[in-house]
Amino acid sequence: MREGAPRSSWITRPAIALCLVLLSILVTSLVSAATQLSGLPAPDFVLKSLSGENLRLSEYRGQVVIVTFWATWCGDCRAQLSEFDALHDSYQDDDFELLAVSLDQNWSELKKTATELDLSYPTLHDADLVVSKLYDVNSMPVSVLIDRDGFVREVVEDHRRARGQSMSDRVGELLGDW
Amino acid sequence: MKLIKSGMVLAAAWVSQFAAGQTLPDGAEPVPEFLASQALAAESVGGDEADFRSLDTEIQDLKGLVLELNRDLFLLEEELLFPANTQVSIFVSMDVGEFFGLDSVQIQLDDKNLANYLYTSREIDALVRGGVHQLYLGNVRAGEHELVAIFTGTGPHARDYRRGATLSFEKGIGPKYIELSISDRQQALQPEFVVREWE
Amino acid sequence: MRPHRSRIWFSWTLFAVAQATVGLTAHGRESAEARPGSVQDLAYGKVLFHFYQEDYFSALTQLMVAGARDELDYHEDEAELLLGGLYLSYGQHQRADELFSRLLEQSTEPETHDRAWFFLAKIWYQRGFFEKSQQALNRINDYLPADLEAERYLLQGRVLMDQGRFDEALVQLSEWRDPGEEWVGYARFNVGVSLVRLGRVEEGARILGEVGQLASEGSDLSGLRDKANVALGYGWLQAQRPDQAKPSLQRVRLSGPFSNKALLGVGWSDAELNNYQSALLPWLELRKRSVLDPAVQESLLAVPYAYSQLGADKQAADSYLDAIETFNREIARLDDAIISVEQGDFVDEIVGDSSTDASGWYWQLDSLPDLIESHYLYELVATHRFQEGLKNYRDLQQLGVNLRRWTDSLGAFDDILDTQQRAHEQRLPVIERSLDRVDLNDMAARETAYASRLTVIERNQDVRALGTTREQALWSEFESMQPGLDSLGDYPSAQELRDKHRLLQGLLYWNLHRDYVSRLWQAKKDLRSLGDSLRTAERAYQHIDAARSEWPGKFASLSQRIAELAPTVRRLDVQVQQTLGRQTRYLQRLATQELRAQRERLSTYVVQARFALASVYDRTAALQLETGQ
Repeated sequence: MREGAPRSSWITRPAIALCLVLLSILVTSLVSAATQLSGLPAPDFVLKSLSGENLRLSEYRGQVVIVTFWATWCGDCRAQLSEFDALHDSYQDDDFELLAVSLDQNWSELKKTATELDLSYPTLHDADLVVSKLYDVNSMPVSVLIDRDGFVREVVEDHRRARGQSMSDRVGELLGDW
Repeated sequence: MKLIKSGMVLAAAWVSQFAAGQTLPDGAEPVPEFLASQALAAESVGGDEADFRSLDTEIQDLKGLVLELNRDLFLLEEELLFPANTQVSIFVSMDVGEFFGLDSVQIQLDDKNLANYLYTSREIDALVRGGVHQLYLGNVRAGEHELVAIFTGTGPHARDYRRGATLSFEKGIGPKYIELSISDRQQALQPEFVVREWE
Repeated sequence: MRPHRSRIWFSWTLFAVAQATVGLTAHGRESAEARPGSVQDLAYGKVLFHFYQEDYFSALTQLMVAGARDELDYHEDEAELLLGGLYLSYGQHQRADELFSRLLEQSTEPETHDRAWFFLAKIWYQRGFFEKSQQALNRINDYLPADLEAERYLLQGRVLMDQGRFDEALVQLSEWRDPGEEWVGYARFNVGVSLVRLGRVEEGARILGEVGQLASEGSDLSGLRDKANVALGYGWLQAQRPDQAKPSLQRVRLSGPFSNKALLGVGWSDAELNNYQSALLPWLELRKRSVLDPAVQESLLAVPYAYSQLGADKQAADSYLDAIETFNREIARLDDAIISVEQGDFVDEIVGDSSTDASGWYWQLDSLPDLIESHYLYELVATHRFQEGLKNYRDLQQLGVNLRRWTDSLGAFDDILDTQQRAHEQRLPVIERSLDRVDLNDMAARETAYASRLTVIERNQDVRALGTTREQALWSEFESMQPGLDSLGDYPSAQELRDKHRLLQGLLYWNLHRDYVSRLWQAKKDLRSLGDSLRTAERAYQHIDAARSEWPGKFASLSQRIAELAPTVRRLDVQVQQTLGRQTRYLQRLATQELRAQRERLSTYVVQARFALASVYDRTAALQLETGQ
């Protein structure tokens, strides 16, 4: 280091600014855009399920619904889906439904994975990525909790890492809330 | 000589009186202090004793009668002034691990000031040992109400605290009890209000 | 006047036993975990809040109120034990005794059992009920903690002594082994005194001698030593052993509270040995001290007596004259004091304004008011008898205050009740009208009907039933058109019409079907809120109906209670005032008896002094005659 060399502020200031910009981008990308939907009516959609049926969200009015977005290449998602199976079972006699929306482009991959997973609730195929765009999904896994009146109450990212109540408690609360 | 000796006799009479606690011949009852081990005075037999006892017994009985009367009047007063269907009682209790110097508790019901009670160190001592203070007893209409309670005080390490709690409650048919417990169970050394209510 | 150390100590230990009984029932931090809060805890807590502030009257009242309201049913025995402890603290020993007798013999913790009886025994003793004290002592087993055990032995000894059972006291105290140094001294002192009392002076003297020579630190033991030496000294004097008396008395501290008696005794010892020159020394010293002390008073006679034995007749006569003057002055002052007590508010002055305080049974008198009688009555006021009497007096005053407050309140109660009655009468027609208007049955029926209709709709998935009025009307129209269309047959335009009809009805059907799910949900919500409203209305109805029909009975009951309680309050108030008067007179009597006793002693001294003076004059005159005049 040369002695007496001044710290050049004209070098460091833009550098700092750049860091801040990068940081904010990083931060926003950590936060799912889907969270903007909280408190608003859940956008309606209809998708084909793997069993062949077409399922429309609005036909579940009066029930509590979790729409969870996933893809076969997302390891965390697959793990989460299996856990949701247990959740679905525990509320199977209640007015509750889970819809797993897959963003996979490759239908056969999807079918294979889904068959392995053997879930007790429907898997829907968002082939054209329309629904994921409707819900502004830019990271996964993400689950959208919808109340009986059709409003988005909460958007939860990886539920296993989520703080606060468990998913089961959240569902229970929404079921009792009418 | 005989007369002078009677002075000696008096002294001697003292001695036996000291030792035995008997009365002097003229029936008076001076009480010499030094016999009494641990300040017990020799008790005399005779009129005074009977008087004391009969009075004492009578006073004990009177106390009992007045206490019973007091109880009946208390019950009557509460029923008259604070009938069950409008009665609300608010209590203050303490449940703290380390000593907390409570200064005051204020309560407002539906934005109206109900009470602002300053606690003395004696009262704090009573609270800390499990006593419960009935801060307020009054009448409130049926339906929804909002209670705001604030306590201030000094905790361990001379830290000042001011904490509040809001409670929305429904006044039903029976008497309503609300307990404001100043507790540091949730977080050690951080006293908070823990509110409980019963019908 | 300094309160006795022992009484403070006693008070605190008594407090502790009341607390021990409370301790069974109070819920500390630990137990709060185990059991969730309850209204019963609140009731208990209220009692404790007063108890810990030594307001026993209020604590007892609260406990009894809670009992009447059945707020304490989960632990009846504990509540009773607490009651016993409170009785004890409030000075209702008879009730405490009865309660303890009933409760404590059942399964209670042994230590609590023994503590309770021990403190009861102490109180009975303090109030002079020796037989009761003995009975309580008899109930104690072996579970007292060590320090209380020691005190219990001491108490037992005293109780025996005060019942006149000296031999037994002696046996009991002698059997006592190793109770601790301080207790040893007191016990032995009592033993020694008992022996002297029984005439066994030598034995008693030996023991008192030991006590009198205890090596000690601390003022308590020094005081005990002095006591023992004085008792010993006078015991020897009485047994005509002045040679033994003198050394004991000389061990008494000159600066201590017993020095006056010791000085007097030393003088008499020398006098008995005919050593009047030596006797003068302590007596002259004594004569300089406060004339309130009986020992000093006696020295006023003893000094001239010594002079006259030594032949110093002039000094003897002068001293007798001085003595007479002093005595007469004191007599006059005592007379004033007696009048002051009889006419004044001696007792009231002592008690002062403390009747407004809580009924602190451990209240101590810490100073006497500045009255003429105060000088003479320090010792009397310090006695248990007087102190207990004062406590009773204070308690009576407090009872009176309490009753007077209720008298005022009762007047108000009647007014309040009347106001409530009038309000009720005004409200009643309004209430009855509104109750009549509400037909809950009808509302309930409609709710049920709606609910079952909804069930049917849901079961049949009847999308039409949930259509809007307009949609339903439209549907009916379509339906009604159907037969007409059918009857048109095969006309070409008929088919077109039929197609249109089918299309439009189909569209309507599609819409109905699409909207069915959310409408069904909304209908369910509506039904539910209808149900909630109905429930609320039902509750309110019942509430109002109950209030309306209960009022007359309630009014009658409250009226009656007020009517019954009012005369009781008056009666008890009168009784309290009367008893207060008697208690006052009792205390005054104690005081005046004491004053009279002192006066009597002085009068006797005056008489003696006059006779003695006359003898001296006679002798002087005789001498003058002899030497020739």
